[in-house]
Formats: sequence, C-alpha cells, structure tokens
Amino acid sequence: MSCERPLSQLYLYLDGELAPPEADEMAHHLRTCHACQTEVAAHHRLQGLLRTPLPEDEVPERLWTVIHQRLAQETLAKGPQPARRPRHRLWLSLGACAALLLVALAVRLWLTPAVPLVVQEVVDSQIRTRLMGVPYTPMPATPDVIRHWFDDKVDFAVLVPVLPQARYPFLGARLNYFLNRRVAEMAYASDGHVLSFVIFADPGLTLSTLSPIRVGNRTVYVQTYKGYTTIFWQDGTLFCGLVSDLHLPAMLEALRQAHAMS
Amino acid sequence: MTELDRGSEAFESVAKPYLPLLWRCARRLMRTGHEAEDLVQETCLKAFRAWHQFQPGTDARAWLVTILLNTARDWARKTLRQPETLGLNDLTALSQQVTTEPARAAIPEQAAGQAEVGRLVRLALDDLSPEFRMTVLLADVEEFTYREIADIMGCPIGTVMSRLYRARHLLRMTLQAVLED
Repeated sequence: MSCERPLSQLYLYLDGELAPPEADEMAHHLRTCHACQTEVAAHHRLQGLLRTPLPEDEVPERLWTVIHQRLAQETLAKGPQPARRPRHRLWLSLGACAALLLVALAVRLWLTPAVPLVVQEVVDSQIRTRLMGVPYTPMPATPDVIRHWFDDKVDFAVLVPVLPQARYPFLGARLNYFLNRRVAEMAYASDGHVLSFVIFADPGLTLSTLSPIRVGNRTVYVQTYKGYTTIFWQDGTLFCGLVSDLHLPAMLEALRQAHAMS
Repeated sequence: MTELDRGSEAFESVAKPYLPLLWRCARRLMRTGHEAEDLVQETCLKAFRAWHQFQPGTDARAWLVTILLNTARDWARKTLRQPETLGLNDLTALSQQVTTEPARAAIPEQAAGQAEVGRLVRLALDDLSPEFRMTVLLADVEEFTYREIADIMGCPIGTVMSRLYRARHLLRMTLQAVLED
C-alpha cells in the first residue's frame, strides 16, 4: 500500500513548516491515508530513538566550573579600563573608528547587496515547492477558467497573463503561500525551464528598495537571488512577479509577450 | 564591581541554561568526551568575546549553537582531523549482534540491550557526515525550525530540507532492526 504524496511533504507537515491551509489539508489527508499514517508512526519511532538520552549526554560536573574560571581569567586579562584619555587622542581614535566603520560598511554593501524579503520568500517558495514536488493543477489556458479556479482560494481578482501557447505551454495553476498571505501562481514552460507568475495583494508593501527598469510602458524591479531571477511590478494594490531560473533577457521577452497583465 | 564583571555575569546567566544543549551537540560532533569539553569551553569563550555584539532579546540558543558549529568547523579545517567514525560494516556487524543475541530474557540483560540500542543509535549518527548529523539533531532532537537551522548552518532552507530528508532516510535504514523491534 502506498501513497503518491512525497515523503518530503509529510516531513514539512510533521516539522510544523506548512502554512495553515496546506497543514489543514495534510491533517485531513492523514485521517484517511493508511500509508501516510504508517510513515508518521515510523518517523515518530525514529525521533523517539534519537531523543532517548545517552549516558554520555550527562554534562560533566566540572565543565561549567572550568568555563567560569576561564571567563574570569579573560576578564582579568583585559585589565581595568583606563579612566580617561587625553581629549585629542579620544577624537583621533573616534575618527579612525568612524573611517574604519565606513570602509567596512562600503565593502559590505558592495559585496552583499541587501536582498528584500519579498524576493527571498518568492525564490525560497519556488525551491521549496520544487523539492516537495508540489504539482501544478493542470487546466485549459483560458483566463476565465484560471480566474474561476482561484475564485474560492484568494480574495482578489487574479490577473492572468496571456502568452502564445506554442512558445509558452501552460503548466497549470497552484495556490502558494508566503509572507503570511495566499499567493496565486501560474506556471508556463519555456525551453525546459519553468516561468512562474505570482500575484498577491498587499497595499502596505513597497518595491522601492529594488532598482527599477522600464519594460515597454511598465516599470519593473529586477533582483536575482540563489540563481533565480525575479521581476516585480505593481498593479494597483496587487503585486505581480515573474520568477524563473531562465536568463533575464528570456524573462523580459516573456513579460513583453504577456498582454493581459498590464 | 566593574563593567566587565557585570558583563561576564550577564553572559553566564544567559549561556548557562544552554550548557546541556551545547554539550549534546559537542558530544555528537567530537570523537571523545575530552574533545567535546574543549569545544564547549572554546565556544563559551568565543561567545563571551563577542558578547557585546549579542542583541538582548534575540535567540541566544541559536547564537550559541552557531558559534559551536563554526568552532568545530574551524578545528576540523585547521587540523584536518576528521572525527573517527565507524563504517557501515561495523554497524551491520553490531546490528546483527544486537538482534541475534537473546537479550530480552532477564532484566539485567534487558538493561544491557537498552545500552546496546543507545550505542547503535550513536553509531548510526556517527556514520552520517557532520552536516547531515547536525541537521537531523537540530531538527529532531533540539526542535529548531528550518529557518533557524539554515541560519545556524549558513545554508539555504532547501539544503536543510534535502539534508534532513536524506539523513532521516539513512537513519531509518541503519536502525531498521531496532525500529522494527
């Protein structure tokens, strides 16, 4: 007896990593699926074994005493703080510190551009769902059908991209979940890669921390992260994004071809 | 009392409750108890030196484990000293010994059986690479979230998930005899 759900998905549920709608759905499934119940029991047995304390887990009595002594030595070695330095030296050292701090900050900014949370979440959700093997629900690539499918799943009107089917076959739709909100996702294939359109509603979010570029009559924000490229734009209170491991030119081309999302 | 004294007292009051956690992690990372003691001591010293960088109210538990893992990694790199672990063959031999020995009759023997199971679990864990071992321990024993483990181990969440999946699979294979008991 087996279940077609991947074990990795069950682990996400057992580890408390599934968002409420997915967790509820999994709990419901578990009530009836015998194969998954067996997996859960086996997993709990393994956890039980791993959690059984070993004799060696007992912290040696002297350990903290030794640590305490070494910390005391450390404190003594540093010696008492000098009471007061001549003022000009203080200013000099402050200046030097500030200069050092600026250099460090510049290097850090140069080496690691800040990745906004929304980009991290979108990319991580792509990796997560791919690892979990969460499927897209196949359906005809008709805007009405797709919109209708999302009707009872999200509380905003989904904008459906219309792409030439011959070049971008529609893979299906799925409900995603990140940044604590439900996200509508539609996927298209392109040269063996997946192009995902994500749409979510949030009046409070701003994309201004990303660098804008113009594509046709639209301003979009581009950011790459963990090998994925994300393109975001805003449509009223809706946030739209395109995420893929395709190269940026190919993604911008797809965006240019997508008509209905303007 | 000087500023520094107060600093060390404050540090100790934050760090001490996590000593058992640090010890469990160290014990499973290092080959001997002696090395594990060195590792916990060094971790506490390093944490104390970086104490001024610690933000009060943030998670000291994850912070300390991160320092411990980084220290262990540095040591392994510096000395190229790999923790000596037993191979699969030793494990299989021990597993057969455990399952074929009639260890369930009298109480002392049962206790001996329990100890053997503990040893078997330890061997199965040792057989995993340090990354897999720590991931499964942080998740299944210490109950850290995927996000916390990713931060501690400095890797993406996806890597945590795949390591966890693989490590659990390997443990279930090697501990099959005990699990089905």
